[in-house]
Amino acid sequence: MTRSKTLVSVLPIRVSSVSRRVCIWIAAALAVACVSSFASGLAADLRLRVQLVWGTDMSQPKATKYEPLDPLFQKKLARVFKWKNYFRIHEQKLTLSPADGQKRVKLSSKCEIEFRHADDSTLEIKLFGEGRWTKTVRQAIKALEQGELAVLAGDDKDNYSDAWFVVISAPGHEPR
Amino acid sequence: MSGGEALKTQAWLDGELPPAEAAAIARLVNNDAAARDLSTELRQTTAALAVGEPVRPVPESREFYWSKIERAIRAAEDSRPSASRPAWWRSLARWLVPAGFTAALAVWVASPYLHQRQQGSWVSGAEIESPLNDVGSFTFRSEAERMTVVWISTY
Repeated sequence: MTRSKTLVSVLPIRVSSVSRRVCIWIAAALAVACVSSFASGLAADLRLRVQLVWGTDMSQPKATKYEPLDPLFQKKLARVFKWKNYFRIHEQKLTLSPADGQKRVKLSSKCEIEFRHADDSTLEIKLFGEGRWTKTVRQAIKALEQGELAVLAGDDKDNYSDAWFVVISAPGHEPR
Repeated sequence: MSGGEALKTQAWLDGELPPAEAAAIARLVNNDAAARDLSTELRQTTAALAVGEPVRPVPESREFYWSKIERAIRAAEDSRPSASRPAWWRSLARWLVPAGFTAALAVWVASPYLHQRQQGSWVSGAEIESPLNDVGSFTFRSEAERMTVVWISTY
């Protein structure tokens, strides 16, 4: 009699507490799934800084509106390339998400850059020189987010002793 | 009379109550009819058992007899290992099972994303297209400066 009483009184409580616990864990699992999906979606957004830079051995730029390049970038370029001075011709910042498709940035009358997410982990960069599609390169987004600089560069057609650079970086992850 | 008072009445009859409580129960038995009936019934039962219960002497010493029972209980417990550790195992399983399920679900949800990230983790400045014939290029990377350069030459 005691045993049957115990079963009658305890069993409904047990069942309800078990089902409540299962509900809590299912809810937790769904929350984790949502957070994971949300996090992966957020990771796809990419902030970029694009700088058109002129490298020269001259101390003063021909056009005075050009500003000296940020010392951090200047030092990096000077350690890799032969030119002593680097001046920023134009700078533009943008945020790129997969939903945007492609975004084109005009850096000068002759130079434009188009960005596109090739996939979640790869950025596709298209260079247009004087309106002509000149080059397509791919860059790992993870590398940019770890401080890597992506640089497109070439000789200055008007003055072969100088050079132009398109320096692409991820703000907040840039070299210090 | 409550259940507690009934138990105390039984303890009072067995002489197990401290003096203060014993006096209180004695008063209860004097004043309360139910308590009085219970004590009378219990006294009669005790008397009947004292007279009618057969005495079965154990052929071993008291210590040996109880040590046999203790050994038997231990042997039974050893033969059922799962029954000897239900408390911690059940409490551990109660959390680990759903936690494992949640972790597995999270890994399953995130695995395509992680796989994709690992696949393309280091595609630094790979040139994929040069549509113009009069344009040449080469790629190099400075590990020290963490810089990938695509140098473009126009002929």
